[in-house]
Amino acid sequence: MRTKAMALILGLLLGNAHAVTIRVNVLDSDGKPIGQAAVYATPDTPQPVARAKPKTLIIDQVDKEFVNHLTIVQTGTPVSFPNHDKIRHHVYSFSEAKNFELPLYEGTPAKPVVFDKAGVVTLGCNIHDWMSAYVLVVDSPFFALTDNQGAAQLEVPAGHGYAVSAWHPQVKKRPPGNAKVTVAAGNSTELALTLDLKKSFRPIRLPATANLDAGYR
Amino acid sequence: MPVTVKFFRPFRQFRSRLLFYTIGLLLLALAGVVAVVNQVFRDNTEATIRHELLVTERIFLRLLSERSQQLTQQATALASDFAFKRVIATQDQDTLTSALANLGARVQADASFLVSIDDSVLANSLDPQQNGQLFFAEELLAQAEAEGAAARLMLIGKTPYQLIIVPVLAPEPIVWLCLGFVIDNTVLAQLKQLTQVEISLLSEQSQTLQIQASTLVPSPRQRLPLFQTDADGFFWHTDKDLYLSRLVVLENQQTGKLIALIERSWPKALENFYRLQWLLLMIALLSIGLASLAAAWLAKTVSKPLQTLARGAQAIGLGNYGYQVQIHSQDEMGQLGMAFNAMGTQLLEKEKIRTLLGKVVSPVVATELLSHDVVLGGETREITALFTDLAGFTSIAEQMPPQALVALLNGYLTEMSSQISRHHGVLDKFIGDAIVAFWGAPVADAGHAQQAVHCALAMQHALRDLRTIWRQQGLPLLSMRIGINTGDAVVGNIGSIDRLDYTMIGDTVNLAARLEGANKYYGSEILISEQTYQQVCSRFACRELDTVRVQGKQQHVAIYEVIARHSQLTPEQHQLCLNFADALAAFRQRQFPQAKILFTGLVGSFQDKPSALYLQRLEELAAQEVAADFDAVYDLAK
Repeated sequence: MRTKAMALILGLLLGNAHAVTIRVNVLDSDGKPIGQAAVYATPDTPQPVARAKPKTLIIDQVDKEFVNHLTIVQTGTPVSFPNHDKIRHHVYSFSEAKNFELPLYEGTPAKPVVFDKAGVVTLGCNIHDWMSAYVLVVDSPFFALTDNQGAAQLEVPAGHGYAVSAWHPQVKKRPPGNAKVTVAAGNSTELALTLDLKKSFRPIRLPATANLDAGYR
Repeated sequence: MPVTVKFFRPFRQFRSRLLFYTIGLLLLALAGVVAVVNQVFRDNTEATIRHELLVTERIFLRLLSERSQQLTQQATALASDFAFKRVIATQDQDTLTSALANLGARVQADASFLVSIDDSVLANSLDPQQNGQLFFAEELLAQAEAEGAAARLMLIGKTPYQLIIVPVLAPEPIVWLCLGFVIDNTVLAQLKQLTQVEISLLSEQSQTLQIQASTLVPSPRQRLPLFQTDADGFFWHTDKDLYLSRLVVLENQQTGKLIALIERSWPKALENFYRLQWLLLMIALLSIGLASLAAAWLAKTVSKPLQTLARGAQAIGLGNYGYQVQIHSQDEMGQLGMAFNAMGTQLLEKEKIRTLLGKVVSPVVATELLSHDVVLGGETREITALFTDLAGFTSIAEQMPPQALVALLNGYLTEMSSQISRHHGVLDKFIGDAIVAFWGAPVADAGHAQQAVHCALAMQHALRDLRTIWRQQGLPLLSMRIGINTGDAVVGNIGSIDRLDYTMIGDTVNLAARLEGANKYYGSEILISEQTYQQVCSRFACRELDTVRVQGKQQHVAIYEVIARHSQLTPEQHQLCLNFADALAAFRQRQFPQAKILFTGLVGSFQDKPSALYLQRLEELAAQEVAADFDAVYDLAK
């Protein structure tokens, strides 16, 4: 057991020398691929905390939309919310994982927001109902977004067991279905995860033709 | 005494009858019109209301749904309150409850709930006990989850609410905000303003129908039966009014039914009709009045001339032929009046003629003439003809002034003709002082001979009275000769077509005339022929004077002098008759000496003129030789 842990740490430290690929296909209940779904693998063994100060991530606000819509971060990652619009935004979240507010601001806030608790953080803008974005905070460095074919690849150190999970903002149940895999060295694994999606309702953005041409767009 | 009851008394007056029938027919027609209008109007009104109720139902449902949308929008706006979202994030129960109450108050919601995403009640304004429990309207939550918002009418406890559920988005749903608005009389009053119908909201829970709210004042509490919910409009009574209604099931849930009753007041719907009925009634009364006046006027125009005509007819019936009715109208009545007057004129004319005729001819003849078509021609009848003449009138006439003469003559003729009329004789004509009359025609009369003789005696009697007067006036005393004969004669209208007499012709008539003249010869007053004698001898005493030879006749005719009625015969007259008969018999048996004695005796006793004639004849016979064939028959003197 100890040797196993040591090997993992070693492997992690040594880069991807012993990395294997887990291919994940995310499908909906009808078997159709789901794009832009988060996929992450949590090692069975807890991660060592020892690591460098994580790099600050950026979620932009451009043209009164968040970019990107879904961002996956590892626990403890600071995220900055630079505002590229000429108007102010009021970014907030009432999620349990991170309850914060950036009251009406322009430009880049002085301090980034550190997501220090795993979970889903739903972002909104107080003055633009339609603006929404999600930050999925996971206790793992192994995560990816599916492409339009619903496929994602996770490079993980070989020889460990992982809980592979998928998530999507429209998923019906939380936590979503996940799968346990153990990946051996040199063997890439392929697995499929099914998500039950619901219809999302978000406030509808005012149409571009709305009589608000005074620099609204 | 029997009592009779008249069940139907026909109208005596034409006016009443006309009035009765006119008004009766008018009433009948009006009643028909009113009945038809009534039926049609009611049917139409009912059909219209049923249709309107159907339309109103749609409007009502539409209004409800619009209200839902409105409330949903309000709730959505409320749910976007950022501060409220912050409160939710604090998860502080008291703050949450307080904030929810505040939120509800902003839109005047009667109830508010905050429901978590997993359907448990986080806070509510009605009952703190419910917090933490499952929300009672899970279906509605599911609907809100599927559609973004949901609205429904529901009973909470026993109160009907319009429930609105919207999510609180941050920006995805973090809780459900549920607002409830009680549907009470105020809400229904607003709906009534828009739909113009009465609306009641009913709930049906375990077979119990209860009125929750109503625009009807006061609410008809206990009188609503359970109706077929698919009823296409139905009538029902409140305490004071009748309504045509329609049931609309708003919600049908396990917990209970919510039913709307859309009602239109039936009397109110008929208000227009009542106005029309009043109008009809006024028109009816007016037309009855006018018709009565018209009928009265018409009756008057008809009955008045009728009464006038009736009076006229009465007058004419009484012989007042000159009566002229005054009807001035130009119509049939006027024509009738003119015809009536023409008739009267005609009758008057006829009456004049009849009167004149009665003077010119005998009334009996006049009547006979008027009753038949006057035609020329005659018939053979047995009649009795009578001729009279005044002895010595011609010589008197030459001595008297004409006026006095005419007066004398008129007095005489008037008296005589009245005697003839009285004895039913026909006065044929006057010829100067002579009178011609006859009996037995034109009206058959078996006793014509007796009547004639009776009349002759009466005439002589009347003459005696006249002579009394004449004597007083110093007028000459005239005597009258009468000749009567009975036999067949031709009677009829004789003359020209323009001018004719009802008269008689024939030997019978001639003999009567001759007998009249023969009075002078015999010194007698009334001479009758044998034929007359046969018919009157039973009643009148006569004596045979002679047997004469009538010109143109083979047979001899015995002639008689009328003495008197048997009943009035005096003994002297009787004696005279007996003695004269004896003397005549002796004469005829050629016992002339004997006859001479007897006649002389008669002349001595009675100054009998016929006896004197016979004495003269005896002398003539003595002066010459009596012929062997002496038969005591003489030629009738002319």
